[in-house]
Amino acid sequence: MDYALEVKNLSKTYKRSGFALDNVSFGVPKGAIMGFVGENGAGKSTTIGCILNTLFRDKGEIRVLGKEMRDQDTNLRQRIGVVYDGDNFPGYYTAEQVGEVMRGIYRKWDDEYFDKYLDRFGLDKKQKIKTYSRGMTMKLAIGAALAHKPELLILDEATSGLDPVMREEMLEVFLEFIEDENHSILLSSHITSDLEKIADYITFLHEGKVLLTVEKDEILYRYGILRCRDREFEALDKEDWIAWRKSGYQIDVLVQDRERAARKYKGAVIDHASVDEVMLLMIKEERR
Amino acid sequence: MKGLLKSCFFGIKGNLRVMGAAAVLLGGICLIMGDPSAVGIFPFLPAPVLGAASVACLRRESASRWSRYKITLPVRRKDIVKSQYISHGICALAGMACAGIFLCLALIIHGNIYFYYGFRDVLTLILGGGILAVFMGAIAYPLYYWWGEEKTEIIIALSILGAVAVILALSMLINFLTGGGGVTDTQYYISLAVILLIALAAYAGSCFLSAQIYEKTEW
Repeated sequence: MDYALEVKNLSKTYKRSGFALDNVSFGVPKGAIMGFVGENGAGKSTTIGCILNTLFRDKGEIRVLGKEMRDQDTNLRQRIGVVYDGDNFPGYYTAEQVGEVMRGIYRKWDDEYFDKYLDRFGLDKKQKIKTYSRGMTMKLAIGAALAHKPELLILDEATSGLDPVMREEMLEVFLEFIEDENHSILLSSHITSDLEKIADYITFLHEGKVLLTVEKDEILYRYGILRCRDREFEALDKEDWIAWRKSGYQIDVLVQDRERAARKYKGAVIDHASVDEVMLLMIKEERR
Repeated sequence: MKGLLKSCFFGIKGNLRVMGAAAVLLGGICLIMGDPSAVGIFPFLPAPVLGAASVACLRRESASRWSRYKITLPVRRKDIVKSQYISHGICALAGMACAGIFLCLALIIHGNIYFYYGFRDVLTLILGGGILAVFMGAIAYPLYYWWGEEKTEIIIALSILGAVAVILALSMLINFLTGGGGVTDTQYYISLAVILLIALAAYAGSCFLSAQIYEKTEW
């Protein structure tokens, strides 16, 4: 498989807090959207910081569009677009000034394209960013990240704090971007419903470790949540489940193959799994 | 680099209106009054004030994630630092130009009643502010990249005090070396050139140091 982004055995320790990324490995295939999911403080932003060289890794390998990206590799950074959660640009800028600055930085900066996004998002070019709503600043950041026609978009919590309507608009833009099979997205988020809508793959991160990287469709169509009581749980084969969680008298058990489990444990209640439930089960409770 | 310079310019621009109005008002009063002390002090101000504005714009940037976002752009970290030094240098030059215009106007309005040594006094007044601004930048930026954006106000204060102290120390050293008495024009210009060269060397060294610090800084 051809990867737009490959992270292998990435480790980084913060000496003060003791938090560590521990051998984080995953890949974003070309033409795909990778949802990077985990609770607050799981290490998503640290991983993205290491990918973008705003943070320095202790060890590991990161290949962006096939190459290790060092500070001097400006040509490689011409090919990626980045959006952070919150204000990416100073509040005293106007959208027009963002365009002026970016035009002087990106070789492929396309003013028409940028203006098109501003029009589409209903952003006033002359208005100071500090007077924008949160949704507007995010829209501007996404417009600016797309206007130099990147091949890889790295979005760190780009949809958090937005209302559902605005998030839907953003997701539409991401889906349009991914229509080109050479384009890829790494989208970190703790809003699993967004990832369920658009991601092709999902990597679960918890306390600095990758718990699972899986195709989203596998979660939706193959994984299942088996609902049972203590005695029934004890009767389950360990090989059949990935994680479990006690919920009152009931135990929710994540099984990798819903149909196989249904055949084996006749009469058991097995529901379809959602990304949200899988995340909760993987993060909150016991894993095999 | 062009984009980075524009970014610095937009940062300073916000302060320019207020500073420009203050400069026109203060300069205007000095010109109308024609007081020799005021005419002797005012030209020192524009370059350091613009320099301080250039440092302060880093503080304004820090209210957003721009400081971190910049690193993800296709620019090298040392170019980000260089752009800051270049824009500070442009501020110092603009301040010196303002001082020059002010002195020209003072001479046109009141005639040459201020300068006993003529041109060398004028040059000292114009260069003095510029050199002060250059030393301020040389002190401020490494501290900024080392201490971080939260301490910008302290850094500006330290850079002003430090720059004044360095200039006083250099002047005293030169006075000591030239015997302290009256100096010829040639000696004076050589002394001025030496101070200017020291300021520029310190600025270049500071730029290198800041780049070294910034390249090792996590955001």
